[in-house]
Amino acid sequence: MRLYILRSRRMFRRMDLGLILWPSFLAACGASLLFFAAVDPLLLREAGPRLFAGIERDSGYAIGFFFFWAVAAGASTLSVYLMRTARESTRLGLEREDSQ
Amino acid sequence: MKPQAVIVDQPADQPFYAAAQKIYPREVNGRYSQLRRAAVVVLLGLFYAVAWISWEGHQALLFDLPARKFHVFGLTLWPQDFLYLALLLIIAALSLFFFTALAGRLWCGYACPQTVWTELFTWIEQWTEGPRSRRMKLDQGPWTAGKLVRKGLKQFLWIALAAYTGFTFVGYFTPIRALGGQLLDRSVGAWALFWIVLYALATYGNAGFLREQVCKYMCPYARFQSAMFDKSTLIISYDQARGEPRGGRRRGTAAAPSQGDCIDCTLCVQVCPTGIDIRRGLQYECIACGACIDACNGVMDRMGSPRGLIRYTTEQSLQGGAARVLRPRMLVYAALLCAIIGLFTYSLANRSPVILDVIRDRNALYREVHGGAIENIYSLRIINLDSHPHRYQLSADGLPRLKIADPQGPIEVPPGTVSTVAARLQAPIDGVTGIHQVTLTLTALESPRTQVREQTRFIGPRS
Repeated sequence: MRLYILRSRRMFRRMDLGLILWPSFLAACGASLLFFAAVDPLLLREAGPRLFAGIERDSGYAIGFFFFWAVAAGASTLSVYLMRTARESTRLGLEREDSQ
Repeated sequence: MKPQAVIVDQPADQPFYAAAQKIYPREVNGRYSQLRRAAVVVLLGLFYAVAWISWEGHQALLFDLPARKFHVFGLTLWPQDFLYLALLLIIAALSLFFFTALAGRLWCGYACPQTVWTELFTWIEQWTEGPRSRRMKLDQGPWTAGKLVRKGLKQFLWIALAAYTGFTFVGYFTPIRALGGQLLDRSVGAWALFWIVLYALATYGNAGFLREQVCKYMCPYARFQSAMFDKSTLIISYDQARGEPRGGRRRGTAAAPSQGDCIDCTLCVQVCPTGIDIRRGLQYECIACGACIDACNGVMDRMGSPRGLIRYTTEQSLQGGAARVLRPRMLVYAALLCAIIGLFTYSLANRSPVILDVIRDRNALYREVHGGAIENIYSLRIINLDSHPHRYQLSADGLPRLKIADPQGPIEVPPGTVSTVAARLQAPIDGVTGIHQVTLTLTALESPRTQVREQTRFIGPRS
């Protein structure tokens, strides 16, 4: 019985960057639209942490947008990572069957 | 047996994606190219011009994010009016579905910003670097002074156009005249500048470099548009029965009986902005721009053969049947579209420029006041959705001799703001036992037709 260890030279490939950033950008646009339709970014001043004490509306929108983008990009990164692992495990499995 | 570890190396240079080949679309002229040029002029003309139109002292179309209000010509929308934006987005999506089912990727070929700006950037490219063959030669050739000048001029025009596009785009979200002035005297805010640069970069990258790759790899609509297709949807197709077997022949000579009409000149491939061969059938990369139709019609004219070897047709007609426009799919999309448009128009036409919320005071049901009266206290939330300030007069009815103790004068509310006002209603103690329905009415003094009525309860002592 052999134990196979995957050693990939690079965890993520260059094109994965697009797969991570682009869908999360779209998601961030939608989330910002919905969120800021209901919430005035000036609320961050009053209700948010002290970090946001002096912010204006335009920075509020920007912070919100990049926050949503970052969260969505995190999810996209996990998706890309998990997809890759599954695919490579499959290939490894096939290679193992071949070698037996 | 003891497990034995085997290290499996991933070949690092194994490409996960095929590298994109640069596509040099050949210039083409014909009915559909003219249609697209007209679409580019109209759509981009509107985009660049409408930002500068004024209406009643403000920018006609302005999604004023810093002030949190949207101006759409005479109409001012506030965050409370989000419903209209949502309905508008649903209408846009349903229209897209409807037209896709009817005529395929009309949107992609003529109206999508990606297509429209790519077309504009390609014009600049053709003007500075010449036609397809010259562009290919220029890219392969060494860096001469001439190449530097042509490439430099192209880049300069591209960057200038992209920067102006970014500026115009941000000008729809913050007043464009003020923004232009701030840019000129360098007092523009950091965020405004950031968004201008970001959109300029997006325009430059998408229309100058990514081009068809946006449609092939990035666009979600391109992936699911085929779900709206059926056999009667208009598609661009090569008439295989007529064209095959393809092969060269002399100009003006009819095809031999054993030969099809296609002379295999590959012009349809050369003009294709996504680099596909339409003769291989309907492909997901095809954005239905019609460039191959124009190219092939020109060739057929010169060969003396009838036009339409590549044409707008349907799968149904290619198989010898008749395409139907009235299909259940079309009727469902049309019915949904009409319903939502109706709902949108109705709610917009009946949109009240003032909203009144009445909340009863939570602390006391009622109290007796001096002079033998029962008093109830309410909290009023008044939202002025008009674009002007208003003074509202409160009145109450539903009980004999019901009067408003406070506020007696008009309530002033600035445009687009919410005012919270405490109101006290009084009625004589005789005859107000139990719970009564009363109606509060708010009337704008400037325009008495602007009125809102809200029901609430007036509570007296138990009998």
